[in-house]
Parts: sequence; structure tokens; C-alpha cells
Amino acid sequence: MTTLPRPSLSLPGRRSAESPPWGYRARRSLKVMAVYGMVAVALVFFLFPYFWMVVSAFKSPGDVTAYPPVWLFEPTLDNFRELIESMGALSALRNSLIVVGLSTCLALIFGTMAAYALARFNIKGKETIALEILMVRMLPPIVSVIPLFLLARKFGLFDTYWILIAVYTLMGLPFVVWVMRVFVQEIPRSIEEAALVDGCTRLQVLFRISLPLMLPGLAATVVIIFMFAWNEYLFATMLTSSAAKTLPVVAANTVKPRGISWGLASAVGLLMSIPVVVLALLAQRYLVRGLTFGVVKG
Amino acid sequence: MLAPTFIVLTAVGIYPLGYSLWISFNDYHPSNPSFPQGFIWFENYLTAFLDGQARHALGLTAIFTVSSVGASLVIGFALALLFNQRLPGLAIARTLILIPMLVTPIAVGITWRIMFNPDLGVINYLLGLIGIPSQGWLASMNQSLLSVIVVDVWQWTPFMFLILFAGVRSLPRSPFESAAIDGASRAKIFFLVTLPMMRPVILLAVLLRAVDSVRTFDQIFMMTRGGPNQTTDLVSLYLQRVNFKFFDIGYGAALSWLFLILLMAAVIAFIRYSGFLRSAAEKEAR
Amino acid sequence: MPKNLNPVRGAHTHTPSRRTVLKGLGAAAAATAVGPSLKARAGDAVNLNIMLTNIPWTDAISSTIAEAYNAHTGGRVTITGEQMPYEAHYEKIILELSSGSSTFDIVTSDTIWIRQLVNNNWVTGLEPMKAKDPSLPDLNWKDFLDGPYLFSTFNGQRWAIHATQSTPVFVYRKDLLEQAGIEPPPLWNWDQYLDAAKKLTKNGVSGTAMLLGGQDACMGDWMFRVMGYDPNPPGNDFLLNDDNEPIFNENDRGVRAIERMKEILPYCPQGVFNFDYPDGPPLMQEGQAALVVHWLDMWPGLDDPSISKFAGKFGYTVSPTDNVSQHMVAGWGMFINAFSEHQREAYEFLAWMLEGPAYQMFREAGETTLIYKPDLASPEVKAQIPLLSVYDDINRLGTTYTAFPPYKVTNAAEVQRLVYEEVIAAVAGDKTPQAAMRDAEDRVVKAMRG
Repeated sequence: MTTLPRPSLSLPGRRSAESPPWGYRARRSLKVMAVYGMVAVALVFFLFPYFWMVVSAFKSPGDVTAYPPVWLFEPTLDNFRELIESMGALSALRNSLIVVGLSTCLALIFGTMAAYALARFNIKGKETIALEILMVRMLPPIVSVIPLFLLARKFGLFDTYWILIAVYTLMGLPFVVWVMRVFVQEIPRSIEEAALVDGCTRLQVLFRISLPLMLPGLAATVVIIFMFAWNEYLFATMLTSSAAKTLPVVAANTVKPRGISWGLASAVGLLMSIPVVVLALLAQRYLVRGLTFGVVKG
Repeated sequence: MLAPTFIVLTAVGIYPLGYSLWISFNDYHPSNPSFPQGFIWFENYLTAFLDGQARHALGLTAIFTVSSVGASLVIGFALALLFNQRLPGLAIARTLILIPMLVTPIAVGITWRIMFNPDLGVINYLLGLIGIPSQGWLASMNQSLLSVIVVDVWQWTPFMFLILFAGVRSLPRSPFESAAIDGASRAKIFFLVTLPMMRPVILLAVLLRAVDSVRTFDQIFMMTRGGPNQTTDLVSLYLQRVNFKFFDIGYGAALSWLFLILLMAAVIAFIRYSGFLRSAAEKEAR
Repeated sequence: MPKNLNPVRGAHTHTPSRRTVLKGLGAAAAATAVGPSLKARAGDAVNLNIMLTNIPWTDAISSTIAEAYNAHTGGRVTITGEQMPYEAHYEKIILELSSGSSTFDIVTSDTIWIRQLVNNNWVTGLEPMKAKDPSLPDLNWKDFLDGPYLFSTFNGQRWAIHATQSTPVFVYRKDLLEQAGIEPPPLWNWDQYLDAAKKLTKNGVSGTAMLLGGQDACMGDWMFRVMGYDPNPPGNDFLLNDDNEPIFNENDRGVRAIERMKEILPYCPQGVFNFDYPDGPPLMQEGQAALVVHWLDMWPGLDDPSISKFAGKFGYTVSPTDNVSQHMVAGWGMFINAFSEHQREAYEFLAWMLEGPAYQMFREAGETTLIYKPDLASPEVKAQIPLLSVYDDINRLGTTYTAFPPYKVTNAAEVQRLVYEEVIAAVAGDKTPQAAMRDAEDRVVKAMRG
């Protein structure tokens, strides 16, 4: 799929035949300006709230609620200091990284295996299976919290990493299955069959031959499922106590029933966004190619 | 190879599902052992059908989901076309635009709540600078639903954009060239070539987004708690209240199941109607 | 499950129950797992885990007080506090205690959750414990305000220690009143309040404000007004009588209170329908509103010049009223979890807190809802927290105590929500106040399933 030529300009195509050369130039630079103008508008809309959050994270309590809003102020690190010193943000960060990292890996491995099976083998009712996997994503999480809480307590998993890892793996699975299935479909069977003839096992074929071809899909999927697990709050708050508390729980804790902590809330928002943004930047090259779902080409 | 997925599904997925199905036929009030408890057949489901609050929430959720997914589809598509130009700087802008979907919903809710504050917020302040009178936003009974939709569109259009952009990028070139040679207008090319070719991508993006959109909770809870006067009281917020404020667990489970059934029906209808899975199945058969 | 009130020192000598075996297995599994084990219980040290909301006095518990108590016991007892948002706190109480969990040894509770804990036998009463085991230390009650114990005294015995007491405070801008030529309160009636709000609404400043966006906050706004018409007969709490029948609209007081709220709506800021507790202080600090009546614990920052533009310009007094002046109280209590394995240690800790210094640490952490009498009597503390002058007015006027409802039923949080929905519908103009009150009565009756 990577060898396909890309359209070189905008979709509607060039219509230079009708335009005299001098007019074409002027119109083209006008068009370029229009594109940049629209991009600028989009950037302002999508980035301003983030900008405001970042700015608020460095404001003192007096500045953060000031009206009219202050644009120039003396930045302070007090919010971050409080997060780390009295709200346990560092241990929550460690917990988040372990829980979300492990569950992302597991979802990726299990999901890719399932996607491979769905795409390659003749399994009866595989559309139903795919649909069931999707259904997991639709269930209102509120209904599974109480049974999972009781389950966790019964098996001593409450407030450990394991219960959250299991839940987040489950949450990520449908997305992995649905994205990776398409990638498996794209891999020519002939290559795999040749390898099988050469004496490779099915698993070896998967890991040595198919997997490298699926890399863009895997990279894009990682970003998406990491993000969903990283930001999950309901299970994180109900299935943990002090030991396995993750960052979203700390974030919610900045909302104090009395008094203000908007700066604190912004700081934790900023802190939490950094790993995901970094991950997205790293995978940026694959994000677009990875999410085509292969549905365009017939 | 399906085994690990099935183990996880069963352990953490099916067990709670079965539990909640069983509980939905019971009166169960863990917060009040003196309240009636035990098996009551379909009473919870009957109550749900007569529950005006649930219908209200369902209606709001439908409006919320359709508007939010619709708006983010249109904006996301426009952005996908816009960013498909070969111009310097667009690649960076394209990545920056993804940021909203990466921010924790809780922080999103808090940030927008502060910005939307009619008396102290930056949005009314900026509007004031260009002469627009200040609006009530989340605090206005007429604008609150619109406001939470704006936030949802803000946060999830990037996701829509990402999928649609991937689709636009992998469009083959030849149909556009031949259409251009035939002298078709831009609008014609868009509606007769681009849209039909993008159809599967659009369907998938809409499906994934809609399934998530109906469950939106954190942002709205932070912004309005379902208010003012329940104008943003979506199903997710009502379910949370029944389950975790009233602790009427049996009834909450029944409501959730009815909601899940409705949602499944909608998704299956969508998939059938769009022939979405068929194309995937055909490809495997090849 | 051992629900006895005996000191749990000998917990290890009990025959292990199924639960403890399972827990042991779980602990073993968790200990071998990567990452956090259940709870580190190094050596002989006992750890008391406390469930807390995230407000100033609870900051003190998990920091300064924990250190002080650890030093006091010579390292024998450690304290960990787990702070969480208000809603999550309620959810955790129910999930944890209804499943008989011993994760938390001490549970803190807002006024309206107290019956939930007590009626369900989820907590062990302090004085009942002492009655069974005289070897436990005495509890020193005399240095503290009695108000909050309205909620946690059953059959003459106190079940909890209270950390705070809050009461409505009428906050007003002295400078704006003076400019408008209005004589400042103490005791106003609601007509005077409306009149002042009207006059003070100008130059971008709203005359007054309410917090209609939060369930608890809006119920406060309504109750401040409901309570002004009739004296509180013993046994009822303004919402429910002794038989848990709704009485909040007796003599039309519920309707009148809603009308009182509606009449000041035009003089409130635009955001009034979405304001909750955190939105109140910035409004006053930025000079957006001139008068407001709300709970004492909300306003610690008003006189702090680093965050408040009008520090020093605020006056504080008792809430306005139309007929009788009553001094409504609410606040946080600390209870011992009946499933805790360290009930004796928990009792000893609470007894130590009543010796006083812990309450001074609350104050040092920025808490304003003080109940420690030596603090309240100290001129330095009064100068430091001008808000507390509200108690001078209360004493001078001879205002009587009453409790913030609803607190008498197990499902008080649900009852409060139902009434809130109706009140807000009426204030928003969706229903007439009369219809809203009728609906509220119907719904509250239905909610008394028990």
C-alpha cells in the first residue's frame, strides 16, 4: 500500500488549461494564502484551549481567576510543586506508565493475534465475533464497575496494577482487532504460504513476516489505545486506593469542593498530556498510514 | 489465536456483563440494606419504560451524538482536504491539530468550564473585544447543550480528521485526473468522485466516533453535572446518578441494558444499511 | 465477619474467616506481583488508613497530623490519608463499606451521609466502644463546639468526633454599601436584601449571587431562605419530620423560599445557573458581586491580598431572615469503620485528636470552619480569620442552632437530589413553585422505600 502514488496537489486537480500563465500564478498564490488562512483559523480553534490550559498551569491562584484575564504574568511552578509534593503525582505517574504501558502491549499482542485469526482462518460466524468485540466498547462502563470491584476484592486484586491492566487491555482490544484485521488482509497470502512451505510455524510466520508489514498499523493503534487507557478515570478511581492510583485520579482530585484549584487542574492536564503528545509525535509518520483501515482501495 | 482475546473478554468483559444482566432482574440497594432486595422479574424494565427522565436523557443523547458526530465529520473532512495540499508547514500543523484528542477529558472539562464562565471567562472577554455581547454558555438553559457539543467537537474532530485524512491520502489518483480532463467542475468532482470513494472511510469514522460519543461523561460531568435544570443530562450522566448516587443498582443495570440494546440495534442497522462489513468479508474471500 | 466492638488487638488470634484467608491469598498474590502490594505493614507498626475529601483540614491529616501522631506513638502507628473529590468520596463510602471492606480504618463523612453509616451498622460508635471497654482513653469533648454533634449523637452517645462546623455567612462589600448609602447588616430581612441587591447592581457589578449549579450548593441557597419562616420544632429537620414525611412546604415556606430566589435572579451574574462551590470565591475576589450568602468554609481567600482584589473590604454577618434567625450547622465527622482491623488504634488516634493540637493544625492548613474553643476565643485567630466574627453576631443575637437537612434518612443524598431537581426547575421557571413543591413531596415519599 505504501507504493501507491499520492495525489500531488489538491483533490480537485489542476485546471491550468483554461488559465493564462500570468493569471494562474496570481490565482495560485491567492489560493495558497487562502489555505494558510484557513489552516491558521483551524489552529487557533484547536489550540487556543490547550494554550489556555498551559498558561493557567503556570499562574498563581490570584492570576488564574483574574478578570479581565491576564496575559502577562509572573510564571510560577507552585502548581507543579504541590502536585508532586502533596498530591502524589509522581507515584501516580509511575503507576500510570506501568499500567497503561503493559495493558497497551497486551492489547496489541492479543488483538493482533485475534485479528490475524479472523482475517486468515475460516471461522464460523466471524462477523458476529467481530461485532461482539465491538460491543464491549459500547457497554456503558458504569455497569461493569461494581461487578469488577467485587471481583477485584474477592481475588485480592483491588488496588493492584493487575485489575486495571486487565480492564484497559479489554478496552483496547476492539480497536486493535478492527484496525489490524485490515492490515492482515493487505498482506499477500503468497508470502506467508511460501514461508510455511519452508518449514516455518504459523507463529513464526506471524512474527517474522507479517508483523513487519503491519508496523504502521501497530504504531497508529498504540497511540490511540494508549491515549484511551491513559485518560480513563472511572475504573481508575473505583478499582484503586492509594497504592495503584493513576494520574486521572489525581487530576480529578484537583477539583476541590470548596475553594479554587484551577491552576492545579491545568497543571495536571498539562503534565498528563506530555507523554501522549510525545508518543503521537514519535508515531506521527505512521499515524496517517496506519489508520487507513484499508477501506478505500477496492 | 483467538484464545487470549477470549480469555480477557470472558474474565473482564463477560463476567460483569452477566452479573449486570442478573442484577437487572433484582432489587439491589447496597447503600440501604433495609430497602427491598431480591428477584423481581421484569419490574426494573417496566419502570424504565415509564421513566420520563430516561426518555429525556435519551433524547438529549441523540441530539448530542448526531450533532457532535455530524459537525466533526464535516469539519474533519474539510480539514482533511485542506491539509492534503503540498505546502510547507502543513505537516507540523497537521500534528499540532491532533492535540485536543490527546488531553485528558477531565482536564478538558475543567479548562472549558473556566473559559466558558460567563462572568470571568476568557471567551466572553474576547467576544467583548470585538463587540459581541457576553453569552451564558454552560449556564444558559438554551446554550448549554450547544456548548457541550462544541467541546465534544473540539476534542474529537481531530480523531475524525485523522481517519479521514488517512483515507484522502490513500485515494488513487487516476479517477481525479480523468474527471479533470473531462472538464468536470470542482463541486462535481467532490460529489461524484471523492465522496463515493471515501464512503467506507466515512462510515467507519462515523461508527467509531458515534460509539464513543454516546458514552461521553467526564467532560460533561466536569462542566455542568448535567445542568442547568437538566439541559445536558445525557444518558451517561443519568446512569451515573442512578448507579452511584441513588445506588439503585438493579434499576441502573436494567437501564444500561436497554440502552445497550438500543445502541446495538442502531449499530447493526448502520452496518447492514451501509454494507460496511460485507466489503471487508469480500476482501477476505479473495 | 467480626462486627464486635471489642478491641481488635487480638485480631491475629481469631480463627481466620473465609474473608481473611482470601485476603491473605490476595496479599500473597499481590506481594509477588510487580508493583504495589496491598498495604505495607512493616514490623509491628500499625497503619491507619483514612478516607478523606480534598479540603484544607484533610490536607493537615495526611501531612502534619500524620507526622505528629507518628512521633507521639513513637512510630508505633502511622497514618495515611487518601484524599478524593466529594462525589468520589460518597461512591467509595458505599462501595467499600457495603462490601465489608477494611481498606479504610477511619471514614470521614459529610453531614448528610452520617445516617447511611450509622443505620447500616457500618461504623463503630466511640462512646459505645468506651462503654464496652473502660480501658480505652477518655474523650475530651469540652473544648469543642457542640453544634456538629447534633448529627452524630444517638441515644445520648456520641459516635464520631467532628472535625469542622460550617454555618451560613452573609458576605458583603462594605465599600459598595457605603457608596450606595446603605446601612450595613447584621440582621436583615430578605426584602432589605433584595433592595440592596437592586441598588448595588451597576457598573458591571452584580448585586448578589447564588450557586444554582451544584446540588448541595443550591440546596444551601434554598434552605437559607426556607429556615427563616418558622422555628425548628425538635425532631424535624425542615425537610422531613420524625416519621420521615416531607414537611418542607408546610405553611408554604418552600414556595416562599423559591420566590425569594427568583426575585433576586435579575441581580445575579450571568453564570448563576452553572455556579457551584468553586465558582463563588473568584466572583467575590474579582469584585463581580456585592452580596452573597453561603457556607463559612467557602471564603478563606477573600481577605488574602495575594488572591483577592478586595481584601479587607468584606464584612461578614449572619444570614438574612424574614421571621426567625436560626444558625444552621453542617460539617465533617470522623468515624471508625466497623470492619477495620485496627479499631482500638483508630479510637486512640481520635482520642488524641480531641486533645487539641490537631485542630490547630487544621487552622494552620487554612481551614476556617473551626470548632476548637481555645482557637475561637483567641484574638489572634479572630484577626487572622475575620470570617469568624459571624459567631459574635450569632451569640449577640441569641440565634438558635439547627441542622442542615436532609440528614435523618439513610438515603439522604438521594432525597437531597430529588428536592434539588424540583427547586431548580421552579427557579428556572420550568414549573410554578407550587407544582415543584408538590412534585418534590411526591418524589420524596416514593424515595422512602424502606
